[in-house]
Amino acid sequence: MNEPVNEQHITAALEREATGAVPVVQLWPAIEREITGAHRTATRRSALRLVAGLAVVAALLLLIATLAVSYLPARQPGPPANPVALAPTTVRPLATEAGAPKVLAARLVVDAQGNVSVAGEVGLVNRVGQYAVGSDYPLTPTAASLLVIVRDRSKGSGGTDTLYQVQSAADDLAVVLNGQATLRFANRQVVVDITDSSTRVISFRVQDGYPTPNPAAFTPTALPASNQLVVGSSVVVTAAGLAIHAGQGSDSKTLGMVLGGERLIIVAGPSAVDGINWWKVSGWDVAGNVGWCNGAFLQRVDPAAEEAGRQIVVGSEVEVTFEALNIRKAADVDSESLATVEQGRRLTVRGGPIKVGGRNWWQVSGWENLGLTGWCSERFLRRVK
Amino acid sequence: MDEREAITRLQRGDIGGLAALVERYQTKAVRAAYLVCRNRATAEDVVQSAFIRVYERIAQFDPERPFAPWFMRIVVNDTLNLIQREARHQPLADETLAWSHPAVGEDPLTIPARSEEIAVVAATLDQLPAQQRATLVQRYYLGMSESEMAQVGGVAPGTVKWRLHQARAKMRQLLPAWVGPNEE
Repeated sequence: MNEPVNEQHITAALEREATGAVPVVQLWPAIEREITGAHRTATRRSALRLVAGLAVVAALLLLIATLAVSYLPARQPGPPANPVALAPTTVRPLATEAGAPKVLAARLVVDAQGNVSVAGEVGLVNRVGQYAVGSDYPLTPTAASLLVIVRDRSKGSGGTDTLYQVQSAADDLAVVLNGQATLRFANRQVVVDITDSSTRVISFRVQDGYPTPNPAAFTPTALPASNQLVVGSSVVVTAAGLAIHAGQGSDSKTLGMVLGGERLIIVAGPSAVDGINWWKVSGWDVAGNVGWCNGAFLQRVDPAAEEAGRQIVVGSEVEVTFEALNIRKAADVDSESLATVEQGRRLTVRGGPIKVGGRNWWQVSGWENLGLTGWCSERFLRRVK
Repeated sequence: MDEREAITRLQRGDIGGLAALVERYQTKAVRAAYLVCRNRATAEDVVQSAFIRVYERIAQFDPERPFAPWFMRIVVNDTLNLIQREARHQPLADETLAWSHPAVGEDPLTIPARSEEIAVVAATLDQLPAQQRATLVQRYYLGMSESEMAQVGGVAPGTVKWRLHQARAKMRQLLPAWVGPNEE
């Protein structure tokens, strides 16, 4: 039987297509910039621009520091405001495009001083369109209060952070990123306009300089009635950021801050102050200290359900927790290593477990692009899905 | 500077060694990545990142071994990984270039001079899953032998043979009957 697909045809087709679509490329300048981080090949002109840019940034930082010093005492220094629950916002395209809308997570954070920021990443954008973030959060630019930090890791860009400032609500910040994308702040949104189709990652952070956000601007998410907190409960923080106080009440000294999603243990409470139930919690620092926090932003975790969720089963998606995990041909440490995968790699459990030497081994795929399977020890796996 | 010297230099911390490797392999690597992902900008990004990984991991590389298969495997795998990641969010290949389209600047009148069969085979390749394209790219574009593919892929030679067979079989399904010699 003859082979209907002539191998020479395949080679010729591949050669022709590749040569036609990709002429000779020159990647070295961008690679060198990425590696040295110092733009060693920069011309004198760009060096001068860099110096000028640094001077501007330094002046800006000085201005911010000066304003902060003069501003904070006038704005009632002292204990931070009540922690404010902020619903997670999303990044989404403004313009309607064919295909599924791009939805990317952004995060709102309240720091220990009550400052609110929104951070996010418009990741690997390679479509023309507009992407907005922060529309759920009414950022309120005031004089010298809004800082936008942009990182554009487009091709040819080293990913340097650039700091911009919005002077007033009337200002639209418009920053041209690498010539073909624009980031602007308008109508209380950060909008990224992508006008080319090169792949890029744009990450940004918007910092609202208000020491005290206006609590009325936010509607805390109502927790389900089944959320019965009791001493001994394992709880998860539902606010984007939650202050831990030395005592009950927001006027009490702040000991620390935990981010949304972190786990705490209730050790005492509740204690009602100013209409808020305060719970004493541990687990917010490595030293095992206790502190008080607003129970409205705690969600009880069912330990049994949580444990069940951690159990690896066939079909689970798992994450490698060891920096160089061997995928072996058989469920045995002496078996041939087929590959070594890095920490954080996601794998899919296809079979197992087999108990060897007191430990479970699972058959996994996803370490190799063509769906091959191999075995690795459960000890270095964590279920993620 | 030959390849071995470039690698030795790079292992000693001289990025001039990397510059030589980039000069030698960049175009072939970007073309290979493009053949898999069908997006030139993405292909360049992948190859740029792959060279940076080479720089970071060159200490683990044995200069006695050939560099090209090792590096090209990184490029092909990274491209496939990117396609898989992107597939969770949106289609990656938003460029509408088709395999059989004329290249920029090509005079359409010269196209008939090209084998029609090659054009059809190219269009068919475009319909293959990315992983099968990657297998064909390694074998027929990068010119890797089956044993080299097996070695760098950490799989048995028989597995490589089987994958190539599958890719070609898939093409057979997709190709119109008149292409290539008849089976009978």
